[in-house]
Amino acid sequence: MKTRYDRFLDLHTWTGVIAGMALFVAFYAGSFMVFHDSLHVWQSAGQAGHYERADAQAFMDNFLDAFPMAGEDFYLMLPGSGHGLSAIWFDQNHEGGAWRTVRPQEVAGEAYQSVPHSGLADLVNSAHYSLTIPEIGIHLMGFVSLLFGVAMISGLVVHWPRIMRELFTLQHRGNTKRYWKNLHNVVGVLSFPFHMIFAITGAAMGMLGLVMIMLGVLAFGPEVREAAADAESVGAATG
Amino acid sequence: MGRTVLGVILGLPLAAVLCGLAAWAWPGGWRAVLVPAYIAVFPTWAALAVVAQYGVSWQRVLTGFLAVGLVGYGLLWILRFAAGDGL
Repeated sequence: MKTRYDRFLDLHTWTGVIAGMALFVAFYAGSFMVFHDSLHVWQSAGQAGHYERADAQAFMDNFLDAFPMAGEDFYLMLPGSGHGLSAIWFDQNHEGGAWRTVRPQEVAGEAYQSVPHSGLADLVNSAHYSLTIPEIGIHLMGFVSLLFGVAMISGLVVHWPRIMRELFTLQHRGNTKRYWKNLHNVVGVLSFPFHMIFAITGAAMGMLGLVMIMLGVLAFGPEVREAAADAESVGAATG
Repeated sequence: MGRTVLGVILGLPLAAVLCGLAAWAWPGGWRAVLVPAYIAVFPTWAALAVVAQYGVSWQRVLTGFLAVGLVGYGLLWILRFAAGDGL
C-alpha cells in the first residue's frame, strides 16, 4: 500500500519524465528562439546588399508594386537595422501562410523565390512550438505543458516540508546522489514561478480550442466566442 | 494511476466550472475577466490533478470531483440566472 507521499513522488517522477522528454526539445529550441532574428539575418547573409536610408522609399514603392497584397500590413526594415533594407510580411497565399522577407534585388526584376529564406530559424521555431509535428504538435505540447505544471505542483508538495532545511544544506562533499537531489530541489523551487509561466503559457497556446469550448459549454454560453474575439481585438490594439 | 487519470480528465471541466464561477461572481462582470479566467483554468486544472492524489481511492476521487463539479455547476446556473443570462 503506497503512502500519500509515495503517490505524490510517483506523480512528480512520471509526469516529469514523460513531459521532460518533449520539454527538453522545446526548451533547447526555445533558447535558440531568443536569437531568432539573428538566425534569420545570419542565414540570409550576403543578401542584404548595401543600401542607404534614402533608398528606402524607392524600395517600398517597388515592393508594393510587386506585392500589392502585402500593402495592408508589412514591416519595413531600414538599412543599419541588422536585417538590411528589406520588407517583412505575412504571405497568406502560401499554403498555411508564411512570413516572407523581400529584399531590393527581388523587386528589381529578379524572380521571387517561394522558398522561405529562413529555413533554420523556421525549423527552430517549429521545434519550439510543436516539436516539428504538423497539425497536432502544438496541441501535444499544450498537454505536455499541463503535465509540466502537474509535475511542478506535485514536486512542490513533495519537497515543501523539507525545503527550508535543504536550501541551506547544499554541499558537494560526501554523497553525490544526495547533492544532485538537493540541487534539483533547490533549483526547482527557486525557479518555480518562472517555470509555471512556461507551463501556463504553453498550455494556453496549445489547448485554446479545447478550453474555450469547455468554458463556453459549462460557464459562459455561446457568447464566449464573441467575447473572446473582442478580447483578442482589444489585446491586439493595446499591444 | 487511476487517481491521476481521473484528476487529468475530470480536472478540466471542474477547473472550467470553478474559474467560470469566479468570473461570474466578479464585480465587473465575466466579460471583463474572460482572459484571466481562461488563463486561470490551466494552473487550476494542474492543481486539481495533484489534489486527486489526496483521495483514498479512485472511487472517492471520482465521487468527490463529481460532487464538487455538480455543486459548482449548480451555483453557476444560479449566478447566471440572477444575472439574467436568459437560461
